[in-house]
Amino acid sequence: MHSFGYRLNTVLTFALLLLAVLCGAASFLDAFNSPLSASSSYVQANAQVVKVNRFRRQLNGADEVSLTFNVSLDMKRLFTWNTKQVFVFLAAEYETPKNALNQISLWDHIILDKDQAMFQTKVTTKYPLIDQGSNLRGRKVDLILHWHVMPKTGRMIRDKLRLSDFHLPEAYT
Amino acid sequence: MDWQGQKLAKIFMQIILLVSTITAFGIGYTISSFQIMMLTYSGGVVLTALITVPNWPFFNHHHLKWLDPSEAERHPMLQSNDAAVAAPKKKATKINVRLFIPTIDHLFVMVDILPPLRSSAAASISLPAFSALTISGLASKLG
Repeated sequence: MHSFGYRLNTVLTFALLLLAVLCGAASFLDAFNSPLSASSSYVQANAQVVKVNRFRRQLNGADEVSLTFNVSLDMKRLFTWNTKQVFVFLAAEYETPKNALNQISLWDHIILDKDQAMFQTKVTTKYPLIDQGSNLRGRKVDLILHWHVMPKTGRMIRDKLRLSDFHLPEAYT
Repeated sequence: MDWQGQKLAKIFMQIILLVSTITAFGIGYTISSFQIMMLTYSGGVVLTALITVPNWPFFNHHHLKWLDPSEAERHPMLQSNDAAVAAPKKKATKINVRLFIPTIDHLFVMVDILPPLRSSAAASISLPAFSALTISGLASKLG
């Protein structure tokens, strides 16, 4: 501690170390308030397909579907003092002879604040459902809601909830 | 700063930073505001830097006690490089060089020098004494 620079360096280094401890404590105690395993019980959601806008076969042989659906979400309980944002997306899951599981993201949304965490909208798919091949006629498709809770400091929590399912039409529209 | 001042500065730094960490966490957790926690902590860090880093007068209350000139003459190696280089070979005994009177505690230079024997070794022996003097000279100038 014999010179100005030495003292400044020591202060800044120790402050940085304690900042790391502070952030660790903030994220650690957060996990006790909203336990990781029960995260899916904190969310209520519903999604229903209203109609199939377009169902066609692309030039390269892949099926393409565009839908409109109603989605209602209540994610208020996921937000703590350590939450920066929640990223929500709706995925369609189905099985084909070629792949045991296909997961396609149809729509996503970023929730920045607790007040914005409850809403209902009627929305069209942001990203069309495109298959590897043409296996979608008459296929049963599950809608799964995924969310990523991104904290200000700490680990990201990922979870999902299975919502409704629907059948695609037998013929192209 | 003098030695006691440095010790005081170190204690201040550790205590104030720890207290500001705990306070920041307590306030942030109860209010549920991450931003308030960070602001409180930064305020604590700035306060610590303001108290401990600059050379305030209260860090200089315990002045360093330098040797009297008569004391220095009794230890010829302290006086200059040339004197040390010129007259080393005659000394075949162990040389204890204490640079400060032991009124100053936990300080940094007590040099025990084993004799040896060649002039190059003698030159390197004189070096620590010289550099110790220089460092303490600088410290007294700064503090």
